[in-house]
Amino acid sequence: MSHLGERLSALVDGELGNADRERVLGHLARCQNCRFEADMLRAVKRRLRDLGPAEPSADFLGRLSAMTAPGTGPIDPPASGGFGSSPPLGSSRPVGSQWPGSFGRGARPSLAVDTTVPAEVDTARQRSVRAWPRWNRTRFAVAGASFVAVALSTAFMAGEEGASAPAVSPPLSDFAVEHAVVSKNASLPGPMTVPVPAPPAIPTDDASGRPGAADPR
Amino acid sequence: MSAERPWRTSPLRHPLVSGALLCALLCLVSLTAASDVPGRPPAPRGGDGVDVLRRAAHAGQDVPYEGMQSVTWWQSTPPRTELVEVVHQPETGTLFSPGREGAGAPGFLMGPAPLDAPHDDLFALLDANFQVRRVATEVVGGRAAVLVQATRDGSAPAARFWVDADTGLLLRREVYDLDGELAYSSAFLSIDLAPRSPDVAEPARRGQPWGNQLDSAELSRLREDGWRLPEGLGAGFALVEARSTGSGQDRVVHLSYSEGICLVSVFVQRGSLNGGEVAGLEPVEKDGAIVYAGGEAGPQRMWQADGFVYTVMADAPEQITGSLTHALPSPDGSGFWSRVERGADRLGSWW
Repeated sequence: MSHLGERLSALVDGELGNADRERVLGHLARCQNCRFEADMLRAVKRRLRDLGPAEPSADFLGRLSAMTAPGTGPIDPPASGGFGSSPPLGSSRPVGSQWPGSFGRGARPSLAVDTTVPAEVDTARQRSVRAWPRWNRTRFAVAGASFVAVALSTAFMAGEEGASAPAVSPPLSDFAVEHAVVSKNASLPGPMTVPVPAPPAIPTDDASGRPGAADPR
Repeated sequence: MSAERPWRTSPLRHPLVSGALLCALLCLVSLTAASDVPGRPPAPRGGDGVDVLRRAAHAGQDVPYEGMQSVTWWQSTPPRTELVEVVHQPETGTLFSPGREGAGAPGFLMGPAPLDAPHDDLFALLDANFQVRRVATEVVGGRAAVLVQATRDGSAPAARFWVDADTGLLLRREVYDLDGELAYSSAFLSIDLAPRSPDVAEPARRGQPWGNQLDSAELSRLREDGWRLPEGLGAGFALVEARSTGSGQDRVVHLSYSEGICLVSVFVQRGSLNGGEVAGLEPVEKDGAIVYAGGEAGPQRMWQADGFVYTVMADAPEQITGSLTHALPSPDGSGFWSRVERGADRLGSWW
């Protein structure tokens, strides 16, 4: 009798269609091995789900902040190191603890977490955790200011005055006639388009009573 | 966690975010300021007043009439009124003469041959930018008239038209600014539908349009030569006609923009003003940049920018004209912000 194999994990993940699901459940009812395996898979999935979302560990933030402190960062090679001897970025291993061996020497690092943290490193870590948002804000502020400065200076340089063009005197009266002719030809010519020579102006007596003296009604 | 990262609660206060927004704004300003490509025009709204106004436009060309017209600029201090005698014969043209006190002075003749009237374009703009409705029937100068109102979004009136119910002639018109304040009006005080023939023997001036009408290919060629000829000025104003006169360094391009009610002319020519005086206009300085402004019969502006001189004449309220000139190249100026603004304009035009 063949067992379920990968169909079992598909069942646990809820990825099977109705027909496949019925067949797999039928097999589980008859096969104790597969039933045990399915229970184990469900238990693992449940525990993974209970772990919750991943957060950056405090020692990771501590190592990041230590990079900014002179002479304290992981940039300095550890005394026992060689290539690959420093903890990988994101590792949960605390700063200052020593690997029991070196990758470069074929030794396998222990999975056990060393919880003995030197007091000065712990203080630096707490300080760095507090300083993280401020440091981050500063960095963003510098980046934003640089961005604005680059944009403004680019526009400033592009706006350099060109060579002086020959002086002209636009003929306003000719322009007014051309404007009037085109406007008159527009659908509903406006009242300002008529360049009648020097008509006398009649001040309207009633400034508030629109349309006032010219009201044809 | 949120207490340690206060910018999360107020992203705009974060320097990076605000810096990025400022830069994006600069880019946006430079792009929009130099945009030579019009956006897709809004869909027509299908107001029932558009057909009435279309009839009025045709009647204004086809129906002979004679009358005294008053024109009032309500936003002058004090409000100013002029009287104009108008005689129109379809085959002769329209003669405008000073009314009453100026009677007997030579007039101004337009026509007779009508231009290739861009009626359809203008009515499409009118219908797209405004809600145009018949709202009432009233009496103007003793004649029954249909009142049509064009309304902006937000219900502020943009213009009101009284159209003669019998002939279709436009008897009266009012134009409002963006705040709904009356800017100017014109109305026939009297009208006669059996006019005399206009005395066109020696009118003071004759109005003929510049002969060289520019199509889109010619406009594109000019733009490639460095001319800044935008397809729109914003606020619904689109390029409806382009003409030019002269050639070489003496060439002047006339761009006409409209949103369906007002018409704005922009004259562009190579050269500079060199800070000299301009008759009829007053220099106004801002951040080292000089703009000449004034104009009794409609707002006028003139300035130099990037080796060109721009002259704006508008049949539009001052408030609207002022907002439209921002779509044109910024005036040359020696101040920091003038230079930055000019640079943003240029960067936008290069993109």
